[in-house]
Amino acid sequence: MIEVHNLQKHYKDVRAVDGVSFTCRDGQITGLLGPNGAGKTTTLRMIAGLIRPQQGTVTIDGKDILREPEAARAALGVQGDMSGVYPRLTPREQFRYYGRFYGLRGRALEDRVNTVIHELQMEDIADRRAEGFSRGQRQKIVLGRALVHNPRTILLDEPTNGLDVMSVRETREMIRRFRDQGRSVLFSTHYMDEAERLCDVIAIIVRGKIVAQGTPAELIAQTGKANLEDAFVALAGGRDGLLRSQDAA
Amino acid sequence: MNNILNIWRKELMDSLRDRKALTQALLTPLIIGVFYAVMNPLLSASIGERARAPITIPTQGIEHAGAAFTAVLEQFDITLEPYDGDLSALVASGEAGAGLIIPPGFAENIDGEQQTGLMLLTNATSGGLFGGGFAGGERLDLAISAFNAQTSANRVSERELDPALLTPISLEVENLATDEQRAGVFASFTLPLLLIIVVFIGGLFIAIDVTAGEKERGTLEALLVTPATDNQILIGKVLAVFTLSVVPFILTLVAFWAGNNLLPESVSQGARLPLSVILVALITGVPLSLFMGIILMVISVRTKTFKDAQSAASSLNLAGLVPAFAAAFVQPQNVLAYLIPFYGPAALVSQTAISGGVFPADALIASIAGSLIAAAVAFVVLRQRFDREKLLFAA
Repeated sequence: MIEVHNLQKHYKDVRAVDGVSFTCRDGQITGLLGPNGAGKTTTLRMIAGLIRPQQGTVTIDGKDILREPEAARAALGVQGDMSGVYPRLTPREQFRYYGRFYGLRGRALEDRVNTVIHELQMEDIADRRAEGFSRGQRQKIVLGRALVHNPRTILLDEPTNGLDVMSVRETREMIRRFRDQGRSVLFSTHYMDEAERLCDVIAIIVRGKIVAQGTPAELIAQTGKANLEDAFVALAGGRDGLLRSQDAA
Repeated sequence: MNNILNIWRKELMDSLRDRKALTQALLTPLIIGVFYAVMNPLLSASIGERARAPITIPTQGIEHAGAAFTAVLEQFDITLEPYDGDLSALVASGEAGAGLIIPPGFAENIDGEQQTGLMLLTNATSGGLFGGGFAGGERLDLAISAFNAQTSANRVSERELDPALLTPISLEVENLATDEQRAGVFASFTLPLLLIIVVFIGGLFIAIDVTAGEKERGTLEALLVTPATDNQILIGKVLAVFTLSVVPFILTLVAFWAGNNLLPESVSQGARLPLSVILVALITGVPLSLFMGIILMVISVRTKTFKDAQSAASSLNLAGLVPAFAAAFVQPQNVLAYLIPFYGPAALVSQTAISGGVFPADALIASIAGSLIAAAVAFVVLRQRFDREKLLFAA
């Protein structure tokens, strides 16, 4: 479970994140939606312990990211927006490398690596160096290394961005499986249909503030719109609001 | 500790699979080491050989020399060769290192007990840096002094006086330079430079790869979200850089020593570098590698790309070479001077080479301590520059 309370981050006069609070419960997929520059990535980076907030708290499964950073990070699986891989290492070697950071060794490590390779259907590329891999194949490595330690809490920043149709379907299926396994998933996306289909709860962030939270149906009902995309535009302040948000970024 | 080892092992595996990095880190220093190793005894031998080789001097007015003068020159392995052209032009062009002009009446003046003179034209640049210009100046001086002494002794004897009256001081010169010292003359200049160049080249690629390279690939964020602490990440990376810079350095010194000692005696002329010189270079170079590796990381940790880091780091080689050059000309005046990074180790290696393998123990300790202190300070700076937020925003 992720609990975010009154998170704030300012860069000089710009309030990138301004008092954000929300909770991602176990067994739920929570979507963090917002226009470009709204503060999504900054919020996710603060949750992952990459950026220090000026104010507020983040706890991962009860562990404070500022007071117990190593323990909190150990409980979290992160697929960030910088999805680079090591081109001279095979996916299996990369999974082993990340697995060791979480205390996995010997048989336990090999079992987890094999499980991830199987779950991501990477058997054919698992022992090939990653140089020349397609975007989809690289994305699988990025996802695999976030999952190798079998975390209960998973943070995914635009996990389907740039993937082909088949890979998108597989990724969405996997995210659903995480929820069914009782894990807590926080993810951000630009695709409203994806959010509507996947998310149990959605938090909409605009200009650093959470402007609405609820199930997709609740957000649609709250705005009186026909679908989530229209509801999102309305909650973000219409077309002008979206443009202002991008200008602020 | 496990996280440190994990990072160290991965960085080594990653770098060793990069053929370009491997070539740069291992092969280049090795080639440089072998080159210097072969050049060192060859040049040292050629210096000794030149000092002993017969000398031929193009001469104008050779017919005025007289038998007695040429006989003394021959005793010193100096042969005069008649030259009819423009002797000044010949020497000025560098084609000949020296030319001798014997004026008319030279022999007659000597026989008539009149003072006479010779004109020696020289060009120190003849033959380039290792051509040595006119290497026989000292020997010609000795030959003329011997001729003067012999002529004066004859004149004094003819007057029934003791020739010893003319030489109140008799100076006997004996060159006590050993073969090891002779070998060390060239090494005293080249080995310190080799030391700096190899530790720089050895660590350059991997230091950039584990910092700017990680950022450029987009893998830094993934590493930072693991439970590894910043200190563990940095120490693991520093150890990997240190390993990959110190191994080629050791190989280079082994190649240098082997090249020095495997050359046939007929080529090296006995000019062999003592093992202690190589050992001093090794012992002082290892902590220097650590310092150099951390400095390279300090420079590249905040750069955005591999290329930017390479440009920024290239000036460091020059910064290291300047004190190494200085060490060849300015020896430390006290033991504290050996604490100065780059300069201290370079000066100690230079001094050890020139003294035929003898080195002051306190200077060795000081030069090691200097590099270790500098490495510790550099690590503190590196730690400060490894700021998660700034690293990610710089990316």
